[in-house]
Amino acid sequence: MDEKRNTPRNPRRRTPFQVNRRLQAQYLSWLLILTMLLGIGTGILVKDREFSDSENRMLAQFPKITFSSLFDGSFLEGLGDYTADQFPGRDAWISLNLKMNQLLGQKEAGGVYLCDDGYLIQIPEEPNWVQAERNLAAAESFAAKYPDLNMVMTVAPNAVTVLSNLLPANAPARDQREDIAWIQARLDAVQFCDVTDALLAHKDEGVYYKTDHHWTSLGAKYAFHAMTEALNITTVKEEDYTAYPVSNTFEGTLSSKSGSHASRDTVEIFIPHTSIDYYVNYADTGENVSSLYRRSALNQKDHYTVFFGGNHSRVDITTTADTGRCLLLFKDSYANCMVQFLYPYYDHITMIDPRYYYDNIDLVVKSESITDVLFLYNADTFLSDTSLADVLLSEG
Amino acid sequence: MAFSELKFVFVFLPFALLLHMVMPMRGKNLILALLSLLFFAWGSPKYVALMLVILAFNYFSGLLIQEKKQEEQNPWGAKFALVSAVVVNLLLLGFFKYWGFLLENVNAVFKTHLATRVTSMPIGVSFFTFSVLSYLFDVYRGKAPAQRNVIHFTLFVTFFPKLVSGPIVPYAEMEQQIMERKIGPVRFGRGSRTFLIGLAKKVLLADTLGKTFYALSALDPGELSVVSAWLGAVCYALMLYFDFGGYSDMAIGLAEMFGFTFQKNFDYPYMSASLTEFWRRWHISLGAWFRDYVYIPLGGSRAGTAKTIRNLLIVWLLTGIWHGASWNFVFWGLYYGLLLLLEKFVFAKILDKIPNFLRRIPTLLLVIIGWVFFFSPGLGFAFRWLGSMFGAGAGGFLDATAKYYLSGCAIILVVSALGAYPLAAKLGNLTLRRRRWPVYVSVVWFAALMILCIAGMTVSTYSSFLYFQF
Repeated sequence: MDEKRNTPRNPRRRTPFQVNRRLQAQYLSWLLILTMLLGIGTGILVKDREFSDSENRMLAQFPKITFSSLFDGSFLEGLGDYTADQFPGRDAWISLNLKMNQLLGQKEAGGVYLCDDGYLIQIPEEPNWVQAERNLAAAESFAAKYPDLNMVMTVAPNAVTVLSNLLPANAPARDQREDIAWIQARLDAVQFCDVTDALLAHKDEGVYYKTDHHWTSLGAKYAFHAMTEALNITTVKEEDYTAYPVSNTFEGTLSSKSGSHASRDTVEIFIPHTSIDYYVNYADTGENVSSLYRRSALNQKDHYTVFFGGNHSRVDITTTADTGRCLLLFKDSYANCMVQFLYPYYDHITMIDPRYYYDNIDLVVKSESITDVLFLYNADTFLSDTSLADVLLSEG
Repeated sequence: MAFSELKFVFVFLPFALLLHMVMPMRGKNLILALLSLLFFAWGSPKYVALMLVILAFNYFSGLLIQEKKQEEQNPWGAKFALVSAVVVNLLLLGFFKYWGFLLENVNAVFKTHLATRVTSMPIGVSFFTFSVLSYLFDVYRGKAPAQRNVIHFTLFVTFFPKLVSGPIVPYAEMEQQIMERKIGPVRFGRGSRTFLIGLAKKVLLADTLGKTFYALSALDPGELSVVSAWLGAVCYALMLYFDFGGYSDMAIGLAEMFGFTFQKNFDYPYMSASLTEFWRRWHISLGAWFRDYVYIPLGGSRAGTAKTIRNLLIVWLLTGIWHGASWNFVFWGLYYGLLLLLEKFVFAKILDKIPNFLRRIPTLLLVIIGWVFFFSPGLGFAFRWLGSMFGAGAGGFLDATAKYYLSGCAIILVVSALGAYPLAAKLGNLTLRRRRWPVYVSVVWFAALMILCIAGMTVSTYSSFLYFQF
């Protein structure tokens, strides 16, 4: 290089450093140009996707070019969304970023702890204490209004509490046992049934999904056994069910939230050994079916919706149990896989999801001859719920 | 639209470069002006018409000021034209940026209930308003002639690399480059390098540090342990530097690709040995603007101690307010105003005797404390955070929260801290002193950074659909 310095072709006598910097600059301009061309080229060649399985949502498509979309800015906005959603190798880029962050020592992504053994554990939200207080007061006044009904509440802990041994070291997660004790202290007429110890006793058996924020059917089963006394159900035995795995490719919501696709879950259903028949009525669609399981859910993304196809404002289950008992169940989605254990003990179960329910609840109590009431929630949802009190306090 | 978004790097930028390349030299200003308006429209579609009105108003104001200056018999004409144009621009800025804040305070003082919700700001309004003001002042003072060419004027105000977040380039500096500039592969390459460095600073360092900072700032500041509070403040200091500094690098790099040379906007601010020096190294173009268009016209430091104090306090009050419409920015501005006064008038002699490397520590501490006021949503939050930094918090010295977040960001914190000082860049340049092969190594290194940047840019658009949440 030193000879080059004095050649006539290089009259400005650049130092080797300057020559190197110029050369580097030119290579880097090619790096930038090639990156852009590669991105655009593959973007054009790769076929656009409609739906992202990993994010569980519809992806933006190329925006329509119309006179108005060009002038109100919606074309440019749509073009931006399209570029992001249809960027070639989107899922791979997201995995790469997650891997890099994990290498750097990050232990969470998208509100999810990345735990040992491929477990993903949802980070609970800060509770809405004011609303939780209101919900509990409403439950108490509901109990006062119907003193003859047996009212039980169970607020199940989430994986963050039961599987706390799997959390990253020093993870500043809430201790939901304190939250659950707080709930219990506010109830009197409603009997609170704590299932935390029952779940803790079986924490190594897979009582929560690895990739989803729900408990497994097995977790619900152990909780159910802990609740039977409060529910006045006396005839339950361990061997009363057979478990059938219906999916071993379940990737739940926590995979979507975190972008981590390292694990798959098995979804089991528990069929009681009983001759009791039942049918299920969905109030929102008017549909009557003979099973609480929905096979078509297994062809979709969220296999947990195999139970009732997800959440509905009101679902009625009518059985041939002939026990003279009718249950009113206020619930979130944790209850969806619990009902398979409950139905043999009631003639009728009315499941109400207050988040979607806007009708009068007193009419239900009367018309369905309710004898028992169960509030079944998980702690994270219950402590941020804003709908239960409104349903309970609605005036007929 | 930020420069660190996929749609900028893979749609707007290639489109702009292509059009700019195929356009013959004499059409390049026109195409850049149109592209800049397109860029503005992409960010603030509903304000395009307003932008055109602002451009027209200031275009004619500049001409009017120049014309009035030539009227010998009416010395007040030019001044009146200048003041009215400045007032209109400031009112506009005030409406978008401070109207809500003003109404909030009116409501608080007079117990009224005026609606405080105002419409969104046009992108870059703080920056392009200051560019325009510099133009009007420069024309009035005769530092530059009024721009008669509408295209050139539009390009000066809206040039997209500097539109959103600066640097605030003075008119006199940009005017000549609009008329004449060199475009070539080496300049383009230098611009690319600066752009890529800025992109990596923003996406890889600032955004990663931001995760730790935002997680910590969501906690109750009174409950933080000493280590958590310091970790949050240090993460913020580094995040802000790499975010804004990286963004400035990208802007300067982009401008260079199109043939414009802008002065650097950041110069390793955290190595400053005094606060005066810090403000010569941090957001240089803003400091220069306030110096040239506020401090010096007020008399600067040449009109006696009392006036110097007044001028400094005015400048720092305005600097604070410029950063945002809330009381903590006012407080932050006055914090610097007072500290700089102390530095200038009380401690100047003592500071002179202390070696530079020792002066850096208290300087850095004061800057970090300043950032606590800057990032806090209110003064109460800021004081509780500061209390926790000095052991008054409920979290003790070191708690599990601190350990958790420290382990998650330790590596990136060390890398960032090294990057905030000139050493790393110096070592990098040292390798290019003699041999050729380090050039190739550096290109591979840049390619790796580019790949990680694309991953980071993709993740920022990641959103899982969670309507079925519980």
